[in-house]
Amino acid sequence: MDIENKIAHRFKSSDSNLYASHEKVHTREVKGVFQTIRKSILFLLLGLYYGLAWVNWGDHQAILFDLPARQFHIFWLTFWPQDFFFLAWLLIMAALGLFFFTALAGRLWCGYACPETAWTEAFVWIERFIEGNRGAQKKLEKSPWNLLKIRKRGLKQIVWLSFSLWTGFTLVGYFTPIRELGDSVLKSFSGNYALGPWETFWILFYGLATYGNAGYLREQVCLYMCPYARFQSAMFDKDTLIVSYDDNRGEPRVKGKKRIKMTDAAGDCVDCTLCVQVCPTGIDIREGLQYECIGCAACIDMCDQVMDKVDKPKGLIRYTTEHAMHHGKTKLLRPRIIIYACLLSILFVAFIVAIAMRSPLAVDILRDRGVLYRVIDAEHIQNVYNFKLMNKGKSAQTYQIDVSGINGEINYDRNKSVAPGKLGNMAVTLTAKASELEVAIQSIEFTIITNIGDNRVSVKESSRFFSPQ
Amino acid sequence: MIKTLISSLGKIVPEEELQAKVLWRSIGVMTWVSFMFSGIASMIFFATFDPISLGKLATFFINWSAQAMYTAGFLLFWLFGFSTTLGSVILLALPLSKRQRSLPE
Repeated sequence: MDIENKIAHRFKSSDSNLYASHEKVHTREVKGVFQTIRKSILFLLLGLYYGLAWVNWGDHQAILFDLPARQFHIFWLTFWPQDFFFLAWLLIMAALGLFFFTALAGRLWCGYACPETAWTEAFVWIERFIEGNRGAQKKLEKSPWNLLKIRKRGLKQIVWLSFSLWTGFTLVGYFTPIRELGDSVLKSFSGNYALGPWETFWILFYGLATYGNAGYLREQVCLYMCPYARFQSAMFDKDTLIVSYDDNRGEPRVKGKKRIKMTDAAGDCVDCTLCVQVCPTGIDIREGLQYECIGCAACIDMCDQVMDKVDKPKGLIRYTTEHAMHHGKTKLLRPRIIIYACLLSILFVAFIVAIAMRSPLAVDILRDRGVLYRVIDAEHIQNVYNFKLMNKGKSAQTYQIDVSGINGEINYDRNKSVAPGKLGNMAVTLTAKASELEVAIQSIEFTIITNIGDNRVSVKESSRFFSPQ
Repeated sequence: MIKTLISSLGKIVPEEELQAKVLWRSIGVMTWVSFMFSGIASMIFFATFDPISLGKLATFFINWSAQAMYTAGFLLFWLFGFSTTLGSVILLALPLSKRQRSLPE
């Protein structure tokens, strides 16, 4: 095929297909093992999202990202901007975890944990509850606007919108204490608008995003917008668990009465197309692995039911690997799995240890920029340091400072107190005898000690002492 | 304005009707990609700088609430990100004359 024909062919087939007007996929409801697992997990995740915002821990909300005060509360832990590196670390772990699970078991994330999936599932459930099953929904779509259609569609919109707004409200509730937020919303309903402009903006913004993504865009987000959907196949190998149709068993697929005539030749697939009808992305899994497949396993559950009805063994469509499908053996421990698993465990353990050992005190020492040293008299040389003391604890701190590596007299404000979450500045002077100094720049080490309850916490910081030597 | 956008973004596919779809898809992708990067950029930026003290240092003194500053920062990053992706998308779509030459009659 020459280039021009190729282009023409592409435009005729794939592109016009790709950009064809999207027809809403009405999925058929399916019940089965995987759907039960899936729905329980999604229900749990949504429950956590809506519920955790209301849980208190001690005197504050259990999970609160308090931006104005620049501190994140997560149960008993409080994170300051200085702890940003934990967040970066967490994100790296999340990415690595995604790689690991993708290599091991394909798109588990998409089918079982992605927020897009969770909210879409909730919205589909609401739609089905109000408009009925697939057939009823299709009928309603085609029917003219009569009273029934107005009532059902109207009710659906009201429930969708309320659910979306509640979602937006909950999101903002993780940034503004949710009980206060709830109070202001209630007040606003009773006449005087008490909700802040930015809270209003974010509730509407996130609510609208939920409404659009879960109500209308749905799996198109996975097809057109999700970067993970595009690169996940790079992490697949022939031992990755995927949703797969068993060609050898299923083909040639034969429908209905024809099967009776050709009993021997017919494959197990009865060509009922139910696997296509239940697919949220509207693909035909029998055509092989496609990037559209989000691994929801709806086709597995559906096909198993059909196989039961026609008295064939289950698993014509099943979770399997390419190797298992063709040679009969899956290798679980591959180099990439081992490497991902090791890296992930190391990062995870180090993360936990680092969090557990987080010091409630952080110190930065800046030398006085103006002068290197001061000559006090013939005998004494003085250096000035500026201590930046970050109190990452929960109570006010006072400090005791010692120095090693030099025989000198240290002077500072012993009553200086730094409030929790604040940064304190303290001038510290160190005076040494000139006769005892051997080099012009002497390495020294400060030890900063504070008492937290009965615990002594100390931080060591090195610095230098300058003299005219 | 919209017409220029359509013609520059939609050049991948010749038909007028399809162009509009490419436009909407491009806008969707640009909005979404810049949204994600705005989130990351805001996290890194605001973990490093306190918006309240930044407002005090600004050439034009800004005395907004922390929430307003964070929101404005996020939206600004989003706008920057969107402009960048918009530029890339417009330049990546070949000029119309070139496209017509490479297309079959």
